[in-house]
Amino acid sequence: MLHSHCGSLDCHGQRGRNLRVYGINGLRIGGVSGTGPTTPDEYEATYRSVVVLEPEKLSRVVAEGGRGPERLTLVRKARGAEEHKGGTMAPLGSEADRCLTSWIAGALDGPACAAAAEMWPPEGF
Amino acid sequence: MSRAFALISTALLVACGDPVHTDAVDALGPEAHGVEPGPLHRPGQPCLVCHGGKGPGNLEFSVAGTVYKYADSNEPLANAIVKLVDQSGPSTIVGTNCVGNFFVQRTDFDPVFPLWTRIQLGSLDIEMSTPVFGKGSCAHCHQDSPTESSVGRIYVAPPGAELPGGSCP
Ligand code: HEC
Ligand code: HEC
Repeated sequence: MLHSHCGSLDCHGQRGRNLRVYGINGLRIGGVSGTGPTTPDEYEATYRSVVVLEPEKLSRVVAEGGRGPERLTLVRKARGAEEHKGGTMAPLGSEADRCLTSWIAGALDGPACAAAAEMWPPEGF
Repeated sequence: MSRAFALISTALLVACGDPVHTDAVDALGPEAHGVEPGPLHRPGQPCLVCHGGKGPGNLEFSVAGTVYKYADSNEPLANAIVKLVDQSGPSTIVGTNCVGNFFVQRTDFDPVFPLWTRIQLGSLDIEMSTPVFGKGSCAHCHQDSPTESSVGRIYVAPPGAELPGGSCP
């Protein structure tokens, strides 16, 4: 979900960002962008970048079973509830939003994540 | 403060307003020898650095880039159609010129990202399977060589394949 919605080379697939998403169609670690599957090292690096964004708040939300995820800047920006250059990428209640917040709650919504794993062009493209 | 002085300091402010922008423009270097600034210049470069509204190019583009025949050579693909489709519906098409460049003026098409794109020449139809999220310069991600942060040239065919109609006489 983070790859398809956030990790392009013109967004969070850039080294200079606080949130850095590594993987196939974005920034690679030792590979070539656009070629070859996302590697374990890349998942790991993305995970690290996510958890150090707001470590204390994240711990609190996780400890409380994922309640009040809007306390996290990551969730607010994805929902477009806070100024975000990339716009609203995961509107409240969307599959992408459910994927993200269920992960934080420790009860990953597999189907929502699977549905959000790719973005689809508009009809007739 | 005299009026003239005020005008001069405003001009200075404008000129030195954005050092990051100035550096980005300078980094692209001078014009290639013998090429005038215009539709055929600077193939492969991120056009919107200079045509994104902050100058020095006067025309403002929303999307622009360069299409090549093959991944591993600088041979341009001319006469191809680039389709651009805004996630919310609006779309436009534009042709590539003799150096493979194409550009869309912001006044003609001002997409809301994500933006989907495909390239067509005759029966060839190559799509970018993921959308562009924020940068109108294709070269932002498609620099000549593939790296950790570049996908390499935009190309349409395997090395050496015949591409009828894709060249300028
Ligand atoms: C380093 C800065 C820079 C880059 C990069 C750049 N241009 Fe330009 N361009 C200029 C300048 C300066 C001019 C001359 C002033 C003008 O006419 O806008 C110009 C002129 C033009 C013109 C003629 C405009 C007119 O009014 O007739 C076109 C078309 C054009 N450029 C297309 C492109 C395309 C396509 C690209 C990318 C492949 C590109 N430029 C990249 C700086 C740049
Ligand atoms: C945000 C980075 C990014 C930008 C900007 C971008 N691309 Fe891509 N492009 C990619 C990636 C990653 C791939 C490989 C995966 C895919 O097809 O989505 C790709 C692949 C392609 C392909 C298929 C492979 C090839 O090279 O032929 C085409 C065609 C293409 N892009 C065209 C364009 C055009 C035209 C533009 C400008 C309007 C553009 N791209 C801008 C990232 C980008």
